[in-house]
Amino acid sequence: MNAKLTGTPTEVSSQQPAAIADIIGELKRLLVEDLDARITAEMVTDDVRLLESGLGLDSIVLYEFITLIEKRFGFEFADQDLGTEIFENLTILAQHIHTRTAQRLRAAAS
Amino acid sequence: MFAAHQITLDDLLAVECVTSVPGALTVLYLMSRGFSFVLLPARDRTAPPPSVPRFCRQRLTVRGGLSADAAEISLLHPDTFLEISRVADHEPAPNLADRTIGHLFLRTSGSFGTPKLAVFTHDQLLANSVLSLARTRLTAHDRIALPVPLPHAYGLGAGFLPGFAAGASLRLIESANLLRYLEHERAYRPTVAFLTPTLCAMFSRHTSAQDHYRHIVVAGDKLKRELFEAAELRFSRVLNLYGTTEMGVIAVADAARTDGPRSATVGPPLPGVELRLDVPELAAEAPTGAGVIACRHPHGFEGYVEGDGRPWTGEPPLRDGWYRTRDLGRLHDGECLEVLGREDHSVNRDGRLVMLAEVERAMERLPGVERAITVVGRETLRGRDILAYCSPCDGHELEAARLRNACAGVLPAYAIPDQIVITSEIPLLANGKVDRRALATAAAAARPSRRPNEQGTM
Repeated sequence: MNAKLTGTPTEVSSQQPAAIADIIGELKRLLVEDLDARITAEMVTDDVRLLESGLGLDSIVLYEFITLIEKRFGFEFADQDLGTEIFENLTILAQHIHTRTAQRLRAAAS
Repeated sequence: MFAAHQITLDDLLAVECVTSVPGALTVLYLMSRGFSFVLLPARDRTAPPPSVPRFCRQRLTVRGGLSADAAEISLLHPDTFLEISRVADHEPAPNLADRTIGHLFLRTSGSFGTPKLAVFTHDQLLANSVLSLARTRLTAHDRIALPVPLPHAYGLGAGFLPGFAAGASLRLIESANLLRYLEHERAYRPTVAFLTPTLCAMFSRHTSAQDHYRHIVVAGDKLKRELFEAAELRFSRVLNLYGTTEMGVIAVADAARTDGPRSATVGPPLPGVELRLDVPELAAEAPTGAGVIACRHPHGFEGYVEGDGRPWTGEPPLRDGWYRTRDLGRLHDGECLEVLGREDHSVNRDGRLVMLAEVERAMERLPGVERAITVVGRETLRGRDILAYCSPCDGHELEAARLRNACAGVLPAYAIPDQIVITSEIPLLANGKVDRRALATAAAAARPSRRPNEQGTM
């Protein structure tokens, strides 16, 4: 029920690989430009919470965000992967997307 | 706790209720003790807090379970989840003197001002609630997921109270979204869920069947056939439900029946509920065979009071026990009701009824706007799109984006038109009335939507 933090995102952000930073940048663009949710660039930091006390994305905006991510990064979240943990903040979400897209690339190469 | 705050049975209370076990316990406690209370939606960060009617002496606020200090909540200690405060500008309403015990006041939707309140006795609401069990067939073996708000007629009267009366297990899901629902679904494996069309569309994104479901109940605008079919694959069966705040559940499909027009209709009216189809005011614009649904219910509401508790001054809502819903409908085989929409140019958006005439009047008060005409566009997750055609006053220039921003000052967010078209000439019919059909046709031809990511059908 509770969306508790599982990691400390600020520790990660200082040493994140370029790929993760790129994904975070793209996610920010989706939030600010593609979603009609009155979210400004200043509001979106790497570790702002996406739900409740942070950006407080409502259920429809969150759904649209998920759909946009799937289109932009070319994969579909499996229902069993979807939970509040990976949508805690952009850093955690970007790591998940990075893992998923890397898997897809490896599968395509082999 | 009530004694400490000097709350007695004669006090009218306002209850801000979250969809949670503490919220449900609070409602059950008040009903079992016979308190009269107004049920208000939980506070939400994106909207101003609900205004507390002045005729209430005390406000009870059920704390949300998603905040950082939620861990402190203990069901054995009401003071960990309930805040009680005096209503600062309290003023008793003399006309409610005979309703201070055993009544529930439910907010209605449909106006941007303070919503009028529908008044039920506790006994009638309970009798109303259990009536739908004959169709939903909930039992003590069911695990029922409730991601719809508890303080509304649907969550309370169609979902929670019948489930509770049947002895089923209930999972109340606060601030439900796709992520939270899927988490609860994995852990709880519901047999039944009560959903809105929007939640149903979001949860049916993958049609991987979940075999723990017996059925889901969906209330609100009719599901498109594709969505109905996708939802039946995922949830095993969909029961369409129709009801209003005033009359509670009016009709719902029978969980035991597999035949009949289940996708298009909401089933036959509940036992003891009478339906009548009246000739619509704008008969020419209504679909073939459609009439305005009027309903007589053995356990309906008593009537309205104004949002501030004063006597209702509008048209009497009940005539001979009949309540005119303003919804259009028609019967299939003289039995199953199909609900076709509203007769009064209104749309459902974000679960709230928006009267288009009110949007037009609000926009016409903005500087430089001579005339504003709205039409409904395609379906989205939030409801139907609203398109506004605006003509400028002489000597003024209007700009669509700025006008849309200005709307935020005069309209609630859910009622702001999705698209504004500035036009010097609003098409008129020969009789001088606005040609809404021409505007709707023009609107349908000139899409690219503001939101290319949204899908009309799913």
